Amino acid sequence: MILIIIGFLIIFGYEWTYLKSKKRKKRTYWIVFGIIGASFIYCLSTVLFEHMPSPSDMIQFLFEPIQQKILG
Amino acid sequence: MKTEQITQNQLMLFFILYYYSTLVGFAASQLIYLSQYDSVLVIYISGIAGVILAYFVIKLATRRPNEFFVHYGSEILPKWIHIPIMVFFFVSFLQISGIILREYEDFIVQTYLPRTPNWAVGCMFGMVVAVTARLGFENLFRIAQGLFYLVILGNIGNAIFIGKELQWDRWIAFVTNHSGQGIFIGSFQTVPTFGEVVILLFIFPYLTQKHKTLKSIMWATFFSALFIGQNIIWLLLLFGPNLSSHLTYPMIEMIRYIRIADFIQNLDHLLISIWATMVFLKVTVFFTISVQILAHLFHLKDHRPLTFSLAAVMVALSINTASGTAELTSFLYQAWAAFLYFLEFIPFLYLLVDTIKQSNKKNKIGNKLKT
Amino acid sequence: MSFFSKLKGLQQTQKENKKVFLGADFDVRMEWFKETFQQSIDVTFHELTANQTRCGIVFLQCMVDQQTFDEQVLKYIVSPHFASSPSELIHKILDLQAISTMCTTILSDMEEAAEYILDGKIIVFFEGDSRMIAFPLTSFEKRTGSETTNENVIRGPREAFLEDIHTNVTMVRRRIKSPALKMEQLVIGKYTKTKVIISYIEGLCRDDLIAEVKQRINRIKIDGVLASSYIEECIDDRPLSPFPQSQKTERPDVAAAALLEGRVVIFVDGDPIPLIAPVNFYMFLQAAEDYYQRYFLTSFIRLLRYGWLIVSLTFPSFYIAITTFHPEMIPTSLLLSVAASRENVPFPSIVEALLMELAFEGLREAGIRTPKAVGQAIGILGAIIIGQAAVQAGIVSAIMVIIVSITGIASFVIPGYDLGFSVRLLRFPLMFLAGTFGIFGLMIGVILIYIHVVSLRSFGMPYLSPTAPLRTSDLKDIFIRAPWWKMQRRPSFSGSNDRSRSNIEKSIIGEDED
Repeated sequence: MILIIIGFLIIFGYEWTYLKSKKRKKRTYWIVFGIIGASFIYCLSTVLFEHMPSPSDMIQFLFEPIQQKILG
Repeated sequence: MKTEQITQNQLMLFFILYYYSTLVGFAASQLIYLSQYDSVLVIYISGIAGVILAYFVIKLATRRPNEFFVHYGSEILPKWIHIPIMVFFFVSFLQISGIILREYEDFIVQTYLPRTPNWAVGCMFGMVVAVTARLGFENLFRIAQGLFYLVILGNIGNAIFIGKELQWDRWIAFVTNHSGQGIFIGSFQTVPTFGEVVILLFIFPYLTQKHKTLKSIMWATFFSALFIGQNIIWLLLLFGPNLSSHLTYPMIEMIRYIRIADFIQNLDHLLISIWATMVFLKVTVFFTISVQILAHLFHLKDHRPLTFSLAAVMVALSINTASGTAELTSFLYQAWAAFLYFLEFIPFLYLLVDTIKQSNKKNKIGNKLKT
Repeated sequence: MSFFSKLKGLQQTQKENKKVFLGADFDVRMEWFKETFQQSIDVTFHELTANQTRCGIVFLQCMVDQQTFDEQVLKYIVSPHFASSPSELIHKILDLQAISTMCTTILSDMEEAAEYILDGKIIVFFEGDSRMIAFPLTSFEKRTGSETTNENVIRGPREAFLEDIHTNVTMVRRRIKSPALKMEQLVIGKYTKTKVIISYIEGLCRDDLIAEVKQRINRIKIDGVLASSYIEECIDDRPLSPFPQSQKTERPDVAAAALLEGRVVIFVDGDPIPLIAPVNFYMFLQAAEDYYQRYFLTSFIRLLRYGWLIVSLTFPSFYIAITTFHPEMIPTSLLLSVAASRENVPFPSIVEALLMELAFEGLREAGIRTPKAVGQAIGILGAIIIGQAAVQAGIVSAIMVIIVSITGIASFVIPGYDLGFSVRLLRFPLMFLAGTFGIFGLMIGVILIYIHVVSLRSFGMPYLSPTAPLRTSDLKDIFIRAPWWKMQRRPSFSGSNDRSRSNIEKSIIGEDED
């Protein structure tokens, strides 16, 4: 968990300097840091909750019956 | 910004590696299990299916050759349908890259680094993917161009050195042993892999000489089917269908057969490293497309600031996907193909609606002219 | 650039363009010169009267040819036959320039005159006329006798560039006798006013490349330029990359060859090593000798160099990966001997390798910097301590010594010193990666380096250019060297529309004999 926090801090700092050097609009800052925040929460929750549902569970739930029907 | 940077030659070489990488490395065992001696046939059927899909994708893309699908899609379908579909594409591509990454992690951890946790391998790999994605498509395809010769050299060397170990008297089985059910199930599972050509829709604006795209894809499919087929034949002649399908990674077992003058005992590490670069390319292209879709959805100027955070998500996805290799394999076997079919048929929907809309427009103009 | 720095730059340019006109008064001008050059012992102010006219002579004592000036100029001016009146004297010298010296300049701006003096010219001015005349009689001590010291060859020319820029330009000019060879001069450095000459062949070099080079050099605002490396670091495409992005050479023939390929050579006054741009990765693996030896030998040596390059980059990390993670890769007998030699070593192989590599780098550096007399002692010290004593003491294994030596040799095989250095540098992160992730880590490292190199550009030219992106016609001079009669086309980065560079009749070869 500590690793994730450190990792994201590095990412945050790096992107901050990148955006700053390129003189981006404020909107870009919001979007980029919003996405970084969302990624951070997702990464953290995968570590904290071991059985958190992932997109693959969703795929399995939706498509497994279909495939079963096709293949008989 | 100049977008047209990928030459047709680069595209072709890239697609050869793109098909070859996972099919040979991860899917060979399952394919042989499903269709035995028909596997080669299945590869060719799937290749043809891939080319057909590519034809339609290119047809859709050439209508607006210099625009990005994320942008012009909303002209075809209403915005409230288009945007969720794009979000779906974004998540799916990220998930696909995550799954391939997971397969790779499992492979490395099981065969080479038994005491290393999955996430460590994933993080290393994810970092490289993020760095490459940051450099954009032009460099990605250039990387493929350089790697291609290395890969082909490795493959040819492999084929020659193993040649003498093969049991050639098995070849008759390729003529005699056929099963309709095997071909059907095998093709059902393998067609989506060639159907991954759907990424063309997203990289189309970057291509030069766009009219040659279909030809390049056809050649790429032909060559990759040739290489994959050769590897599968070698596997079948070396191990036979039963043993091949019960090994987790039959390719690596095959490479371990190589002995060069008793100097290098196991060449597998080297060849696996070369092969791993192909997997890396495949993961990166899916990841880059996914990042780019997100950037386009938010109308950002470039996708660079998103790469590292999304790479972290990709690594998290790869670990979160399944708790173990068994679960992953069953997931891939039971639901993955249907999911990919769904994903790959979305362009057809766009093409259909666009064609109807255009013919309607023509009719309207025609009617107006008449009246 | 912020507002303030822009303002500063503006003020600076105004200062630089400041002009001083002091009219025709003799004393005022002499005073100005004396004030400008006060506390400069090497500036000579001389006053004399010729034909009833006071004239002043100002020059840098050690930078002019005083004897020639005395014999060719002064002797005539002071002689009573030269002119009969002051006005005639001034008219003859300043208007007609009826003196036996070429390339004199007439000027009246004092600042300009001061610059001329610093450049080694003699300024002469007269009472009653505001104009001055500058005699280009520059002459100073130069190093002579130039022979290559770094890029040695067995066959081929041995001449090397010198510090003086004009000598260097002449060396190139002597090789390319065409009016298309252009030399453009820029002056860089607020205080050093260093001459920088950009040379290229018109028609072979792409126009946008020339413009780009000029623009990048003009952008440099710096106090002083003492060597070409000052310029190099300021014009790199990616300053943070460990890879060199322009080529350096001390050989006029290499510079001439680069010009003929459509590249740009940048000379800097005071440095015997000009820069060549653009450059790609493979050019650092080509030596001048390659073109002077027969192509069979050259091709073999080139392939050998690529092999050594890989060895230099990955050998220690490969060894670390094998001994730590994948001992099954090597045959049992070899494995046993490796294990036996490592038996007494207390460190893991990564620490051992790092120790030895650092010791080797230290030795190498010490060898370069020490006086020649001590140099030999260092060699002996290194050989005994690292080679023998360390192994006997059980600090490092004998195999490690072999590996480090092979790697050391490998890094010296690379002809481009810069590239060799960056490869040596990149070896260390690779060793760490191999020590933590084995072959997988090594692979990740190599991929990262590869990605970086692919994305690198030198003046817009992709760094791996004939291979990625692929240009098959340029491959003749990359991995092998094709014979000259096969290399009939110029490299595709040259700007000429007509790409054929030679047309050698193949019938010369195998002419009928009977």
